[in-house]
Amino acid sequence: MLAVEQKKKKYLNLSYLIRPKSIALVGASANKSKIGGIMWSYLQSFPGKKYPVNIKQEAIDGAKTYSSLTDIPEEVDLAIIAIPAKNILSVIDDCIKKNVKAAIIISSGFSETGEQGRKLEDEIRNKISNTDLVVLGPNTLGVYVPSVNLDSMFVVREKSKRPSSGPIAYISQSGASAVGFMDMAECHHYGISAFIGLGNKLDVNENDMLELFFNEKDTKVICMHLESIVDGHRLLKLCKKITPFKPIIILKAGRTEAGAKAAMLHTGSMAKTSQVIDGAFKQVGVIKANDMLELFDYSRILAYQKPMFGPRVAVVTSGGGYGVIATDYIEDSSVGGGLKMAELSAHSKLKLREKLPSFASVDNPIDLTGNVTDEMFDYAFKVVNEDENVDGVLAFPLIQTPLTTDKLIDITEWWFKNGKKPMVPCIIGGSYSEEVIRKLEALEVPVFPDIRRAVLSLRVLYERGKYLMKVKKKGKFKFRKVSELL
Amino acid sequence: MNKKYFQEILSYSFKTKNKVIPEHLVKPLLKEEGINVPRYVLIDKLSDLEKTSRLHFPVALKVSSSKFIHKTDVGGVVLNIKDRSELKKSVIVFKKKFKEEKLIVEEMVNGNVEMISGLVYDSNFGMCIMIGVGGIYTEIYKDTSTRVVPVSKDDILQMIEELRGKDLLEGFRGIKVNKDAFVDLVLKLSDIGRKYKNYILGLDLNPIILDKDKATVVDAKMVLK
Repeated sequence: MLAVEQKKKKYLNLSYLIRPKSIALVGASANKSKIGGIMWSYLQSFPGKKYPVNIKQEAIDGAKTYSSLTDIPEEVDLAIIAIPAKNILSVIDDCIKKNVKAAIIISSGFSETGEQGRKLEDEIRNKISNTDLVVLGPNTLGVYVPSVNLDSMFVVREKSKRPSSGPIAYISQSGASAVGFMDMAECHHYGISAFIGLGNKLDVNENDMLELFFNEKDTKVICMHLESIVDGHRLLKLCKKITPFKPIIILKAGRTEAGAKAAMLHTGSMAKTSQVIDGAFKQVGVIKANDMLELFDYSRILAYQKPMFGPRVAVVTSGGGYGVIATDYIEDSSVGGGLKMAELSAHSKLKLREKLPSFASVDNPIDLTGNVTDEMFDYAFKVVNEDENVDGVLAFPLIQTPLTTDKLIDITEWWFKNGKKPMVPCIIGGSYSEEVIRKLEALEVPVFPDIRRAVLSLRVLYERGKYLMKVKKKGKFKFRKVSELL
Repeated sequence: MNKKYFQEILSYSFKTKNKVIPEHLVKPLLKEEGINVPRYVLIDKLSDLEKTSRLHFPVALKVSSSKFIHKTDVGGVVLNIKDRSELKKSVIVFKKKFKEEKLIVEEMVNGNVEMISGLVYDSNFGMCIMIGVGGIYTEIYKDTSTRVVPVSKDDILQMIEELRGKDLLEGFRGIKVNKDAFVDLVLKLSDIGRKYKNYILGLDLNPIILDKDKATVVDAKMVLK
């Protein structure tokens, strides 16, 4: 097969990782306390064909069990493999014989354990090198695609919930982090189009995922947690193509330096790989996250809110203290947003003065005071949205005050979704506030329980806006499928 | 096609098996690429001192060798030499100390701000370019910004924006510097990085001295892959 042809075919086969029509589970078990048993039971919700493969051929819930992949009479798109590492090679042979499109090796015991495991990975790589089979993993949770009810994760649902369907593709090289991340996502109604666990990246890597999700219509935002970068040059090339259309947020964990560079020179000793990555990400419009919480916040706000096209923020609050802290964070460029407090127009101040109590502040931050009503919030949101001097809004729709009601939830939702200016809501408090936050989040309105997190999310909206203005100015982006680049 | 002076660097490295390129071979390359360097004369033997008559004092005397990448550490730099007799004395001392090495006599450069810029080859991302607040304290301040080559003028302006010391280029306290000249220099460095990415492991221009008219590279160090 020609190398280019094979690459194209491999690229097309990537989609079988998330949209297979038929699945085989190699290592399926009748024992629900075993990994193969948990996985088999979770795969039951998948509506396509499912085939359990088990060497002992024990019957599982009355389903016919196959002793090997090659015994399955029909086509298999995706093989999920959960057997000990030492038995893997023959299964990979079977995948190739059976013309399986994609395989996921869940099992661990590969390069993460040392030299012997690394050799095993090399052997698998050799086997598949002249085929179009794509292999995800090993040492991975696999995939979770809520829209097609595909769940290859062996972590039990009672302890680690699964997020609902939504606009964010979440790709993680770390399995344990992914479990926590998705449990958190479920709790906050952070919807995902797919989760992909990259594992040891024997074959499929982050660049393949960028290609895949660039062309996936359901995906609006791509969010990645990486520990290594397979091919930095290609990563940048792909990101540059994708970011004008879809935001990419990357957490690159692990600051160890790759290779000895010209460390005797100043440039070599100061331009560490981590700094190179920071600069490179900026060049191609990738939003950098420093930790999992930032990855979560930034991908969420970019998925659910529009970009901000200027740095001027109006703060609407009923608590003066929040306004003061928010002002500090908005203007501080080292720990905060490096944004600007908007100078409200004279017209806005006049309009606010008309409807607000005399002791309320009509300067930014706008303090509606403890006497605030739902209507006052609605009115203040309206005024700042119409003000030419305002690029974005930081809202504190606090429900603790005596005169505000649940109506404030709807008001916040309306302005979040329909306001001309991007708005980021922040609510701080205990169990009652948490309830309100959940209600808003269920309406697809992300709420931040922390002022700094809210401000940094505004900064990210502005970063995105600035980048879009820059690429628009250059005007050379025409929609091109990434597959054409192969 | 490599230009003349880069080709000379490659031949030097090939012949001597040295990866570290001495300053007297790097400076011509910079000139060839349109980067401003001070006027200098290369001294091999004492009689070469005559050639220094075209230079304006004060001058600096430096050893140029692939053995001493950090010249100051081995006492290989004398600054602010005021006249011919003082220069001769210093050259005699240097010739004893660094027998085999070439010496550079270079006009001293006055300026207001010292910056650094450089190239470094990253195995994963390719050739990268760095700018920063420079001079001898550059590793103390660690005030730098990095991008992948090539960079545009806009990229460089954004890199400057990221420096804590960015005001140094904006006429801080009336200190006039030509920011455009610095940007132009970095653009040219990026071009060197693009053209010779297969050869260069690292290239340091430090310090780059800025005044109200120009940006001048006072010292340059290069390491090949």
